[in-house]
Amino acid sequence: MGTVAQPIGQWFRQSRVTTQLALGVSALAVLLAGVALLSMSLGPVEIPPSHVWHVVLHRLGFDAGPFTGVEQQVIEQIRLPRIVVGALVGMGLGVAGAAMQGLFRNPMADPGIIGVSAGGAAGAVLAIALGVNTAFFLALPLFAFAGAMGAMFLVYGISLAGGRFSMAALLLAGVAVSSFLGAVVSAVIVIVPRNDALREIIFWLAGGLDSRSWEHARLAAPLVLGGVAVIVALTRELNLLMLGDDEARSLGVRVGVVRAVIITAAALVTGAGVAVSGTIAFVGLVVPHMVRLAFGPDHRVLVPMSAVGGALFVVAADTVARTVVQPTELPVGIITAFMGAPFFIVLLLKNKRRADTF
Amino acid sequence: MQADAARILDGVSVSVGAGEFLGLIGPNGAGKSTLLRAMSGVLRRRAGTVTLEGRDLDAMGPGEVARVLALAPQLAPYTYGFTALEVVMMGRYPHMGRFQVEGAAERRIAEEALERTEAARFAHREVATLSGGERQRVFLARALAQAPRVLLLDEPTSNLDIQHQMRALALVRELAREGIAAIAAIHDLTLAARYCDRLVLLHEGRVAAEGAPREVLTPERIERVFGVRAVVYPDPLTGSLTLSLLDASPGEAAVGSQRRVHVVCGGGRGARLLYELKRAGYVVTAGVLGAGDTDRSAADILGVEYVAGEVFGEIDQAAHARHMALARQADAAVLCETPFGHNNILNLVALSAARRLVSVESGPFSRRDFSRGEAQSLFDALRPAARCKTLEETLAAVHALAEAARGGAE
Repeated sequence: MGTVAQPIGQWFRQSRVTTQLALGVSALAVLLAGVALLSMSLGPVEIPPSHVWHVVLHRLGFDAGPFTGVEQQVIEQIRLPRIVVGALVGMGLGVAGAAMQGLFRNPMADPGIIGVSAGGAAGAVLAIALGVNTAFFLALPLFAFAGAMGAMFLVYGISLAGGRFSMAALLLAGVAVSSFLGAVVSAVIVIVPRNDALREIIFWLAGGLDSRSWEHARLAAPLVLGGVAVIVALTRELNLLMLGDDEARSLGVRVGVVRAVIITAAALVTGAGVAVSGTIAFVGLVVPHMVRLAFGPDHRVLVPMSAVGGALFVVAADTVARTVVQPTELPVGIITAFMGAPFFIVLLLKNKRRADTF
Repeated sequence: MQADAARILDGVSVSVGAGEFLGLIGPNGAGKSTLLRAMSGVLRRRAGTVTLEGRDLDAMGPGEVARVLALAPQLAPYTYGFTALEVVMMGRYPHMGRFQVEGAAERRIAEEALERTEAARFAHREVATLSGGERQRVFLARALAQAPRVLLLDEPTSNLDIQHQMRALALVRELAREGIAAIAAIHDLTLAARYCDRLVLLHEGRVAAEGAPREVLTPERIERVFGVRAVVYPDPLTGSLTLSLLDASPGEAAVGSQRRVHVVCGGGRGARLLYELKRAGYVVTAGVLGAGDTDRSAADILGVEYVAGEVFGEIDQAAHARHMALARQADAAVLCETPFGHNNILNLVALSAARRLVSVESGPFSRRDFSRGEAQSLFDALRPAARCKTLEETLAAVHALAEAARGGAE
């Protein structure tokens, strides 16, 4: 297989960035559409793929063929919003992961490195424990988002203390703040009096997309799409930052400004994701790696493809999560780790040398 | 381009014009890299100004600066999965619109840059898999692809083998001839002297000297700034300035401790001894040496004081008198295995003024007497304190005599 894949990979690598993008993104997008259609047909209410297609076309204004009202309800009100939320979350995590790995020049970096995930979790857990999540519909996502952004500003602020940015301080502050917030979450779990709240916390921490609605999609979409757009616009700077701060500066990058903007944008998309889905593990780490191993490190290709790849990964994982042990559902975070980790390890073993050269 | 900065650099003012190749030299920690980083705008300065093509650097946007000025780093630690060509292509980014991607034109420029730094062979290899020297050529190519009018290089030769050191510096000089202003921090003083039009010697954050290589690189300055004793002379083959270090190990230079040793030599029999004595820290003088004599070239290179004579000419009275004075002042004198004829026989006469004499003889004196016995009789009258066969023996004898001289003086 390597004999065929290698020349193709080389040809891809040496072709124009626009060609790479067009080919790569459209291939992944077609896959994503396929998985989405499949996902819409699977579930407790089985809907034939042709009917799914008809519903989608009907929504787009074409009269393609027959479907039932129930089928339309299930697709439009239950499965499609869930897919859209999953795709948004996956897209955000993939892009934020790629951005963090590039910014920190560290293959271990993921969006959680700046404390965003822990902050989101702490915010959500507090909302559940205090019972505000039942007060109004979006209270939980808003608390989670506030927690995520608060943690990010704290961590980034520490790294800038004294007027001079320090990468090491940023990483260490991220670890420290995450540990602290993790302890807050543990403490809440131990002392929370109500069992239903406890169950809700645990389910939320595992990361789930169950009963996500268009409301959630509407909350996450502008933040995720906005943040992703900002990072996509700064992919050239990310390439230069990979060479080192001095190098980037001498090639015209305002390093401090770009770094602040990228960190904020990554926190925004991750925070929005955490707010609507809880902490979905592994996506931000694995997806950019898989894209990089396959297509090389150029962020102008890596970031957009991590966006589509992340969406594909989460939507696929969620489809498995809600069908594999029917009638129960697993949190999607468990599936992303179950599917992602072994796949990642296999990939890593096959490409150990290239992983070393990250 | 002009720069002044403070603290690490104090009162440093350096300027370079189009078409000029300026070398920054100085010991580790002298501030070479700091100066380059300050001049490129990469380093935020507390004070001082950088003027680039008549404009204040701080008033220019970083993109604008990057279109004029390129900085080639000393070491590029991060490259990740990028190939050499991809890294070099990044040099074109400052010239491209935000969402413009590199096309055939950019690719051609990048490939030409790789050709010029002889890195085209590994254009499609990942930089992380390249050797240090190959990497350095890739990053030089990246700076070239930037098509700068000012090129700053931080030790561009630090990882290169000698062939590529020379080619890299020759390339920079060539670029300067094409109209670029180039500044390079260079450790190798000989290479710096050979390729740079002008040198700036930095020492403890200040400019210790500035000017043409032969003005800057004097033995006294090298000893003061670098703490090594060196001889500086034009390379007989290339004509460019060359340094030979007197590789005294610590303490060794103290042996001579400025005592005077006078050497009578000629015909190449004394060059090695002159070097060893100089290295050991003696003030070395030499007897009358004719023009064109190889020992005289050695004395020139080593900075040995000697009395100059004509080509194969007889020693005149004035020269002889000066020679006698040198021999008399010496704590010890050495007679090398130089042949004697009528032209240089006065050198033997002068040795009678020496207080302590070492004679180098691996064979009988008669074999190098070309004066029909006259030299032989002068030689017999000398009564040297020591007769030595080898260089080592000779040195040991000189050390002993010089030591005795001090004892006698006290």
